[in-house]
Amino acid sequence: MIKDNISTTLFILTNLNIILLMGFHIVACRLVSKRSGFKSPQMFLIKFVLFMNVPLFFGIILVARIELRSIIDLMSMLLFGALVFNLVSYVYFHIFNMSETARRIKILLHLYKNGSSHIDELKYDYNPKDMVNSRLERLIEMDEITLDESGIYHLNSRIFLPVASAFSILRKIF
Amino acid sequence: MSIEVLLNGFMTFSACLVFFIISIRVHRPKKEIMYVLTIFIIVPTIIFAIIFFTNDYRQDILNFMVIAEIHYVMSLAFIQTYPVLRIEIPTFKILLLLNNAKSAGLTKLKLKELMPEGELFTDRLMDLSNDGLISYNDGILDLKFPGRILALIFYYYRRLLGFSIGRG
Repeated sequence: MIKDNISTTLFILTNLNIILLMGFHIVACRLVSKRSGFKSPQMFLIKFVLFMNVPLFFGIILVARIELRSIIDLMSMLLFGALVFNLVSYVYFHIFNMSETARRIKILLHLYKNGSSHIDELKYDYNPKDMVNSRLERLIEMDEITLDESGIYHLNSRIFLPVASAFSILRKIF
Repeated sequence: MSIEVLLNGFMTFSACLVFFIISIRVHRPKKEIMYVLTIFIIVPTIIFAIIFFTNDYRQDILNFMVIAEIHYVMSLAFIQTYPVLRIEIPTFKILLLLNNAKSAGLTKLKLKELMPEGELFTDRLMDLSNDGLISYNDGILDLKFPGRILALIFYYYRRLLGFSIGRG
């Protein structure tokens, strides 16, 4: 009975799409890094995840049609595919973003490459002022902020602001 | 696929989340990463294994895998989000500061003033030390075994992507 309920093809298709996303992302990064590099690697990954939803959704609809599923079944299948694919993509995005921006990962990698280090050496190599600079540069690259002629930063896009506000509110719960 | 299967996966995650929120309000453990992994991954895996071998799920393996997959993907998403909920993320802080400044905006100098060094660097070192990833003795920092494994994973991941170490 359960075998009739759950589509094996759906399960394989969803998980295969996740593997394809990671595989294509690695290949794209290797190709682009050899050339000019990304304007914003994070934004590229977000757009790529959104794009990969399209073949997944069409694939699920196709599977549902071949297996003669009802509309309710199709909705459940789409929900499962969307939930699993996008949550794993979210996790993958975090891992990628951590490797790109996280201060803790940078400290771990510094110690891995250079062995035990004095805190002052680490502070010198990883100046907190530079951290602000690199973040400002990254936000400009992502068009989230702008810098005017008098050297004043302004908020530009409002894509990440609601996320920042939501995390600020959620922080109170945890 | 029935909606019940999806809800079962969601309910196991929700149960872990509720337990986690209540437990950290009673007592917040020092090694938070380990605690989060225990609540969302280790304990549910043991429970899943018990249910799998004691109930008749061996005939319904796909049903069981869907429930487990939903639980694990939601848990992993939460585990990734949790540190962001605990510490001040500098990028988000810059956005919120600029939003508060409205059309007047802020200079780089002012932004740096509003972002204390401790928040950017020293506190992160303490987090790594508390989570047992690094040792800190008389100003000397070194990797502990779990920290070395984590660094190794990220080192080879960056190499796989063809990138150098991130800008931090």
